[in-house]
Amino acid sequence: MNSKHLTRIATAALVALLPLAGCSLQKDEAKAMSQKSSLPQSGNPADEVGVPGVPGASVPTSKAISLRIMNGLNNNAVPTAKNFAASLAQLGTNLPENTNPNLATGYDQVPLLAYAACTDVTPATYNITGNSIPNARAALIAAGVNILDRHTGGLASTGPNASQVQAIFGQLVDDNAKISGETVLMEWISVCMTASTFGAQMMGF
Amino acid sequence: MGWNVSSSRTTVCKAIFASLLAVGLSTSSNAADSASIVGALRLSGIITGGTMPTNSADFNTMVAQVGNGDWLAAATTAVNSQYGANYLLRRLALQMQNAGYNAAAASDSDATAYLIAHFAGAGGIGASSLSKVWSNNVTCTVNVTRNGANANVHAADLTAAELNTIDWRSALNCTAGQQAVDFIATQTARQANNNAAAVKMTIPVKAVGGYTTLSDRTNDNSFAMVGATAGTNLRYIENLWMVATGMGLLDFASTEGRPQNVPRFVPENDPHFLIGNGQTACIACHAGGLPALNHGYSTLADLYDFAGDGLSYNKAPTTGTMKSLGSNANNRQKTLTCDLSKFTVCNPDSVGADANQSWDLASTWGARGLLAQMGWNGPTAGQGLNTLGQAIGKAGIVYSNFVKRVMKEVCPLGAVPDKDFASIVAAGQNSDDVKQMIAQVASNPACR
Repeated sequence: MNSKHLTRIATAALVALLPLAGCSLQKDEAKAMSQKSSLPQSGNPADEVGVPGVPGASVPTSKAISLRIMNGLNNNAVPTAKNFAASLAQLGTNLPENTNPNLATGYDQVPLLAYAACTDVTPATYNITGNSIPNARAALIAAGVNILDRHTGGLASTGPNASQVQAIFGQLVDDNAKISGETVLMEWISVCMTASTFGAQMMGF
Repeated sequence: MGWNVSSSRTTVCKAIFASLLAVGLSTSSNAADSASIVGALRLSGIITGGTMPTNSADFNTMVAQVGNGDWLAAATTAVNSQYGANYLLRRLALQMQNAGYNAAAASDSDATAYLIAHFAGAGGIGASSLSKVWSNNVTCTVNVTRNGANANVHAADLTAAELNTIDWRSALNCTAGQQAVDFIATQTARQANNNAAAVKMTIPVKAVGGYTTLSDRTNDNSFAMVGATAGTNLRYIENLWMVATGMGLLDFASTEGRPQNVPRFVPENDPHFLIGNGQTACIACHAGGLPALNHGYSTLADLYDFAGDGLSYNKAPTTGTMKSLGSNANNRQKTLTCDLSKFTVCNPDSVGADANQSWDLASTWGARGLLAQMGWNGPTAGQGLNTLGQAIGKAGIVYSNFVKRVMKEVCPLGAVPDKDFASIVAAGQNSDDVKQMIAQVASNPACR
């Protein structure tokens, strides 16, 4: 699995969708966003006030992150057992403890936690079997959509752009498959990490 | 396995959801459902941390409520849920264990269980209440099932797995009374046997401070531990006021205090005692502010300590045990005598901590207008920590501070209009309902 593939996928597949993302939140959002938020004279980001017209944003803290990952994986990995627990213990206070996105740190640790949780799950749980990536492709995509569905209330599979979500995971699987030595297990971890990391890090939601 | 963990997956993930969000807000035939789901996700995210499973009945209810345009109802559903209690109510409870509102520095304890019970209106304490948290005379334990049998445990004994799955709404069990180690009885027992166990006692109601006097063990990172460990217990009373009001130490300072109300261990002959000379004068805080004898310090100074046995209560303080005479037990007699020809680290004019635990706020804070600023509407004088806690719990500033804290949690970068803020505070003070305040903040257009 090559991280460069993921970057190209993100850029190429979703640039067309980005202009639609979030722009209709507020009619005057563009104007509001062009204003800088009122940084306090104290210089302390904790004292920063928001921009009128733009909804506030809070980010999940460590407890929320671990439970989100657990929920996304339908309790097939839990933060009190196996690699998930071991990873959580090692990450400790490195995970975010503040809901203010300007103050929270540690989101770079979330993929590590997601990785650990994903390794606790047997791919067969998601009907991913065998050693052939082409044969497992459909199940791999379905697994990613399934996990994402649990984070988004079903939007991954029921929204009008569900086919694009499928395509994105398909691209991920296909690009990973081009790497020499890639296995079905690696593909599962990749798909699982992608969906779980996203779900755990959803900010403002 | 050898693959790189990089931010590229995060990029993919965020971009994926950007497309989903666009779906949610588009004008497609499924837009209403999708928009409702997004709205419910947002409220769930900020109130439950996103820990509410999206296939749960509560989440489906929230989707329907958002679909009907009733954001307040959806927020109420979230805060009333098992997940709201386990995430946000618990975070707010953990934050109240120290003056920095630092949840990470606190642990689940009797104090946090008590707060969750009062926030949620659980455990048999009645309706959700903010005002009672500094005075209600109860202790809250937790019912869990272990090895097929019911067990009633202290919150500090909950396992990590139990903490992740607990439903505080039904698990909490609050019973009358609070306990502490009986300092005198324990000392007596250990004179006969060094290894005698600590003797427990029921704290007199007069000295009960709600969650601030709850602790069942050492190292529980409770409010009592933070406030009463070593020192003089000034930290204890200062933290009580600061956590309740959100105000800082210097906000309470007043130059109208008298030396008589300065604790006896503060050196009166210090050059900064009366006049600051580039810093706040000692008397401004020690007589006019939070550390003054009559602003609550006397209600707990000589009664409580937190040491090797945990929180202890002293029924009959003696000179050697009185923390109001300083942190060093070896100097307490000298401080009490305060013969400046022999010992100068003392205040001979101090009346000392009142044996009846009296408190009187009006003499300094009334004239300054600080009581009015705090929206004080209870008695301004009394005896005992319990009556002080009851009065603090009713002050207007307690509600405005709580709403501000909730805003910092659920929409840190939101700009709630002043009139909405005032309305939420007023409604909260009227209802005393913690969950209502949370739901109103979370459903405000600036937050949701």
